[in-house]
Amino acid sequence: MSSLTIALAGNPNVGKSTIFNGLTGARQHVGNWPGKTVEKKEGVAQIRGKEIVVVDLPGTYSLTAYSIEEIIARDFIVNERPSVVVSVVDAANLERNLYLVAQLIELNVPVIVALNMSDLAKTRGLKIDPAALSMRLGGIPVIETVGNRGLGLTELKDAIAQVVENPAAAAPVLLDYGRPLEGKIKALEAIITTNTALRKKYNARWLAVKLLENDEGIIEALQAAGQSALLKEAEMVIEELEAVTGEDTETLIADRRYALIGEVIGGVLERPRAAVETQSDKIDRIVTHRIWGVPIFLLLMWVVFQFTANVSAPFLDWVDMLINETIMGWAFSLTGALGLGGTWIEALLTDGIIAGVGAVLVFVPVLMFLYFALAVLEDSGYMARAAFVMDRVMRAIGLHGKSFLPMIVGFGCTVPAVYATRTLENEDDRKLTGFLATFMSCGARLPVYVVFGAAFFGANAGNLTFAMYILGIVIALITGFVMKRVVYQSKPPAPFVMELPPYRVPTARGVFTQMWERSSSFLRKAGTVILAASIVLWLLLAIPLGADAAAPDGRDAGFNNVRAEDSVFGTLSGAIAPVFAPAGFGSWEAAGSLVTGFIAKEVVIGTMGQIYVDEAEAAPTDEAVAAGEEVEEEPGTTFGEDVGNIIVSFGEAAVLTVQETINIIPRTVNIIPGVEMPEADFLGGEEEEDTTELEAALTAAFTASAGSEQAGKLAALAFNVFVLLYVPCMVAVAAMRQEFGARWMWYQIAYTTALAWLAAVIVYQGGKLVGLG
Amino acid sequence: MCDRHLMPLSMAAPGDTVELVEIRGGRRFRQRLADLGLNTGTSVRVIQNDHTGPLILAVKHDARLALGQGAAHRIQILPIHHTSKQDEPPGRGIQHEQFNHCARRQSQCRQKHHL
Ligand SMILES: Nc1nc2c(ncn2[C@@H]2O[C@H](COP(=O)(O)OP(=O)(O)OP(=O)(O)O)[C@@H](O)[C@H]2O)c(=O)[nH]1
Ligand SMILES: [Mg+2]
Repeated sequence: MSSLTIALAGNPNVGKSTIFNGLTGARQHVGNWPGKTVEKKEGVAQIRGKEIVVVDLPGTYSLTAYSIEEIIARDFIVNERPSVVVSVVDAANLERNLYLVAQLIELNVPVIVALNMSDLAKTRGLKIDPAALSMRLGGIPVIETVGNRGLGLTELKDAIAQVVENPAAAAPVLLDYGRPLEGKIKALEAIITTNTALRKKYNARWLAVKLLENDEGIIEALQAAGQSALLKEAEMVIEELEAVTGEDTETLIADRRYALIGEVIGGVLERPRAAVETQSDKIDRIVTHRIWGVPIFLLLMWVVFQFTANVSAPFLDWVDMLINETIMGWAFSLTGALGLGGTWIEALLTDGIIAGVGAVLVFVPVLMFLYFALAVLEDSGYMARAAFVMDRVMRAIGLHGKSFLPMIVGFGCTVPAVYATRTLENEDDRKLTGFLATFMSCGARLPVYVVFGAAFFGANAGNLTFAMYILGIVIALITGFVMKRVVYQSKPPAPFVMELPPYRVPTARGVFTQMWERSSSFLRKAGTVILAASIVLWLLLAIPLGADAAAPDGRDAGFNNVRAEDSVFGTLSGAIAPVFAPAGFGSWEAAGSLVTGFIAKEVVIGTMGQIYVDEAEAAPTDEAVAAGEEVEEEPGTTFGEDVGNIIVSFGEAAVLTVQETINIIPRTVNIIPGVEMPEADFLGGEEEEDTTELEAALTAAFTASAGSEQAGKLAALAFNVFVLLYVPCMVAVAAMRQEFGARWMWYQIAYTTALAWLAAVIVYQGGKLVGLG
Repeated sequence: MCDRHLMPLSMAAPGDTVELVEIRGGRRFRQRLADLGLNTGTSVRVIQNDHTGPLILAVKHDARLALGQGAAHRIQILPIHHTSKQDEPPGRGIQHEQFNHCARRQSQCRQKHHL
């Protein structure tokens, strides 16, 4: 390698990405659960004026790799041979962490040990002597760090600089495996050293040990390289050793490594005398309890979605006012001032871009609250407990608890959820988990629930959201149950082993960084994909299709002067609309929104924003007029008044948010029948039930197409079920293809679309049957 | 004196400190467990076992591992010591030493059988 490369290696969840971010200024995802990083990530650090490439690797427990993300880490260290390996170690869990360090040492690359989480070790009463540890490991640098507070990074950089200049300074001592292993290792080592091809590629001693460990990856690689003579030799050695000791060689090696680590630890680490029951153990007794575990999980979910749907509402209204009244008004004034009033340019700007992108941007507060809640869950350490608690449930469908981690990731976004399956060792489990994760309601589906919730279910809006999340989980479980039996013939899942990280009070910095990262990536998406989709959609809505296309006033149609249903988009959507008639939403508007929703689920709402608001203008219904009148009747506001208004209403929104946060408690308590706890009301009932233009238009449209108000509600519910279940988005589909192959991707598209339709029809027709509509 | 017998880890009670004597299963499975700190000869403390869901174990003192019942059933153990109140210091008292001694003897015994 021509340039200098430094790899960060270590067990999962020890703080590798945190240190990576500290060294390079990157913003890699960090959180308190094992398995966040599943792909290697490069960054550049400035160390003593030199630019050095730093690589953040996925976590791994050993250099014998089992799952994809571990193979990525192992292959990088073994094959790419970084100039220095910074082995990040959890100081509060030193003994087990040194197992990987022992293997890195064997590779004979320069190693620096970063004793991370040294703050945690101290609070647990663990006394570690870094100098002694360094000495015991042959003098390799050992640096104490506290990654999340950036402590020790300067020292770490200095150590890196020194080792880069003088690699011998970090040459570790080799482990002595003792009798009878050591002799055999030496013998194999001698054979390997005489083989030029092998000597160039591998460290001889490391390869000898790996052969005795029966490492599948290495054996395959050697077979492919035509080294069967060596493999034969290794087999004989193994047989011999196993005959003498009565144990298999990998067990012997592991036991010996741990024994050596025990010796090292002896002079380095001082533990408190009593084996203390930690805070985390105490919390776990309740949170992972056989009976309470699942209810606690559901309660937390409930709080998260109350928080997302209700607490964000005041800010949602605020952004809605900002975009649809203020900015929309400014756009009209601007085009008017430029003499473009009434032209297609004005229409593109207002009906196209602001209506489409704006309808999506309105939900930024909702997503920020969702990301905030998820970040708190991640940082607290609860994620791994959710997987633990759900193990029982997942077992019933033939998977194990670890599969639930990607599913929780899916509540944020389906794309990382698909990649998160890499931590599963069994390929069948992995594919199935990826399939199921797409049924978890991602952030992009949330705007649909919120708009429909507000339009049709009023005060119960939060319940619609919660119901959709639960339905997603239930459908995933049923799908898993069936697929495991039909496709995988009930093969048992891989054994369940998972590390439980200690609970931690989430740090404001960690939570807000993550919230900001995700929100800004959402904003980027709004500025690119959704903006492009809005412009294309506006064009398709402006171009008439067919000879009998008419303008809104009934005359012949032209560009930007056509009834929406006669436009290219309207005509094509109208052609597929009958497919959805059995589900109660057979209008071209609904069908069209679902089609554009294949791009991304936010676009469903963007499309509706464009179509319905456009229609409301063309043929104003009473409600739309009522909702939209403020825009029409306030032509005289000045810029200054607008800005003042924005600030005042922001303050109100902030107050209402506090109120809603407090009200989660009475709302939750009031679920218990017979209990009535009053809710807080700060602004003295001033808060009027205002429906937005889009919500009003939706209520009108669904009621009209389904026939009655009750049937309209059912149709709305069916529509939400469809949105929940069908293909998440193009990016997720591409991720499925990359991870599981094109065939699997097509199965997924077909299955989810068919299932979505079926479920929507069942909801609508079933509801009618039992007399709800 | 040594009337302790091998039993599966899945039957251990919370508060037990036990020695892992034998791990049944494929090479892959055993090596995976060893990587996480569950190798033969190690002692672990059972923090939670309700016999239906996964166990929680204190491994190499400071790590906390969740282990499925199925996997726990394949690990044979010898009880070393029990603390009913978990904050009571382990490694104190004669009883512990006896169990410890006992466990070591039995595991040696078993190894000789293997030969
Ligand atoms: N108390 C404490 N917490 C830390 C320290 N370093 C990192 N953390 C926290 O530990 C958690 C894990 O950090 P990550 O950087 O995501 O760990 P990782 O090793 O990259 O994890 P994977 O990618 O899952 O393997 C995060 O919640 C960090 O904020 C530290 O020195 N002390
Ligand atoms: Mg990471």
